[in-house]
Amino acid sequence: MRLALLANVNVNSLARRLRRTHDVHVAAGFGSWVQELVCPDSPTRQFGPDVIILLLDGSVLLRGIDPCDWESAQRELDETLGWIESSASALDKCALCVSTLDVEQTRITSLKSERIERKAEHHWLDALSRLSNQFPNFFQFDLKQMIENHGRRSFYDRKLWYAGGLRFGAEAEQVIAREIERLLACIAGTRKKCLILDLDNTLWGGVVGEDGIDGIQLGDSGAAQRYKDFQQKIKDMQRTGVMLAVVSKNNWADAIEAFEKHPHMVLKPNDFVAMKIEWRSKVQCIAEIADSLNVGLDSFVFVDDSAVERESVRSALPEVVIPEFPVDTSLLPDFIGEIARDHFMIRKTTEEDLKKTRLYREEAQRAASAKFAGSLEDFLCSLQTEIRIWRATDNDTARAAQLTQKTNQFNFTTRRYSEEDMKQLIASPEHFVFIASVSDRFGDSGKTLLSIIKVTGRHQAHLDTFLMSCRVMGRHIEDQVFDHICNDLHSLGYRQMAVELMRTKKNAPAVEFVSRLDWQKEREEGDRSIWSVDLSSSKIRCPPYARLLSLP
Amino acid sequence: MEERLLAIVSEVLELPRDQVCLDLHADQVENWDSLCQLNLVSAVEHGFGVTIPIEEIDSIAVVRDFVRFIPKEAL
Repeated sequence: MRLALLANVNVNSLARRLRRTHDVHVAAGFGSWVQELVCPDSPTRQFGPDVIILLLDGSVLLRGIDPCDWESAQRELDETLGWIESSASALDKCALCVSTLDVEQTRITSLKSERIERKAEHHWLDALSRLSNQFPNFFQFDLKQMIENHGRRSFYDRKLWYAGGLRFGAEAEQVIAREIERLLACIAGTRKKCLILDLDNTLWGGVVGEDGIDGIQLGDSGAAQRYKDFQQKIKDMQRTGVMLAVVSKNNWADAIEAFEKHPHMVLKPNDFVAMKIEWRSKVQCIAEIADSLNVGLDSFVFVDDSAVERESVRSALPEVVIPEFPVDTSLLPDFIGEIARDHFMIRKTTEEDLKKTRLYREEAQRAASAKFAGSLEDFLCSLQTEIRIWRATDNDTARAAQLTQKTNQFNFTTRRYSEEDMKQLIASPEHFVFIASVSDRFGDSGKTLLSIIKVTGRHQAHLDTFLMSCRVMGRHIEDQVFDHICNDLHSLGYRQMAVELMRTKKNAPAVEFVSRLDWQKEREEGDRSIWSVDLSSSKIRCPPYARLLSLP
Repeated sequence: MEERLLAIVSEVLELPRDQVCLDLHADQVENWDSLCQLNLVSAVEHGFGVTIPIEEIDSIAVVRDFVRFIPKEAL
């Protein structure tokens, strides 16, 4: 990632640390952040960053302001916020992350005098929240929180400040660098999808099969609270769209009874996309979950108190992330907080995320009926699938961008678009953006297909993006949607479409789709190939299993 | 103490351990600029739990110059 660091203090040392993993640009001189941010031809803007992080030191920002003069302080802050706001609206391709403010009490005042430091911090926070709601590419970087967690006295280093304008000590730099890594991972959309949990001595204290429901530790008071707090945080993660699964060596009846009857159980069976409560190897169970959910093993994080289980999964399934379980279980709530920040941080919760657990459960049920319902054709017909397709509008921007960010398998080009990009594509007269949703008798899978077509001539078009979420894979829905788009373009006067395919490590399903059709390959350079489709003679390639509705 | 000091210096300067000795001079190391000087001071302070007064920062030009700030007990 290309990262630009702007600050009102010296951040060169922090930049050195980050350069080990990223391409980092730091503005020369640390007084010039406003020009660097606002002027389109500044070195920072010319650098073409994917992300700009602006670290502002509150005490430096308000230096020179009378510590009792709130009005002047407010003016100063508002002016600064004005610069930030105007650049947030001008920067569309780049994420702008601005730090929350920490203002030290640097002046000596009387006991009765107004404490403008706290007011300033809150004023700033309110403004950042507003900007964050207003601009999809704007994010808060919670420096204040880091300082509070770490302790202010050891966060700032006086000597480095006076000797070199460096505000943060070595440990503080590590804290900031780690948080920046998390932020970048979140913006790049590389988060994990599923958290797999053990039960005994993980979700609760004790062994339910031996101690019984009344004997396990889980409750509202004393030491039992640590497990409830732990579960509560996991529930929060599930609400942000993280899928949960259980893999536990236990008697099914004992475990389910605990889930259903224990008065303090926060997580319920419905919160899990899969529950493997049995005596088989955890490696096998995890592999089966990956299979039934149709997600890669590298999307899993596995939490288990047993070092033996962790090691056996680690050696057999090295793609799964397996954090060390805390020896002192009073740290469980902090432990899961770290996991959430390291692996599951998201930019914004969408409605689709909230529905995800239900969707994946339904997927598992569908897979289960596929086992019994005779031929695949019969099964597909029995689903009573309905596809709705329409030209995307502003309402679809967030989900459309998210689909490009998250879809890896059935994706022709794996081009990632931000919300801002998507907005422009939808508004552009040179592009057609189609989006489709899929529902069947088991439920509604929501918006799961996206196609972006660029007009390249009077009769020619270029397929920039064609993708489908793995939720609806394996049902020939892509064939029907593709045919529909071809017919639609044909009726608008287009005769030929160039289909672009970029081979990646993960998009074998898309490659398979293209190669089973008899299109003509026009050219191929490395992993990129272009195929030509004659829109006038495009024909239906498989029987339509679904009812397709084209919405105006 | 010497070994620990050299390890700290090699980490901050991003130099292989065998290229760092007590007589290594700031002029011999491209990385060792004023910013690095501060990082070194900070790392030695943390590593040994000592204080190097701000007045003394400019007097450090060779790795050996750090030795006088580290008490014998830290051995």
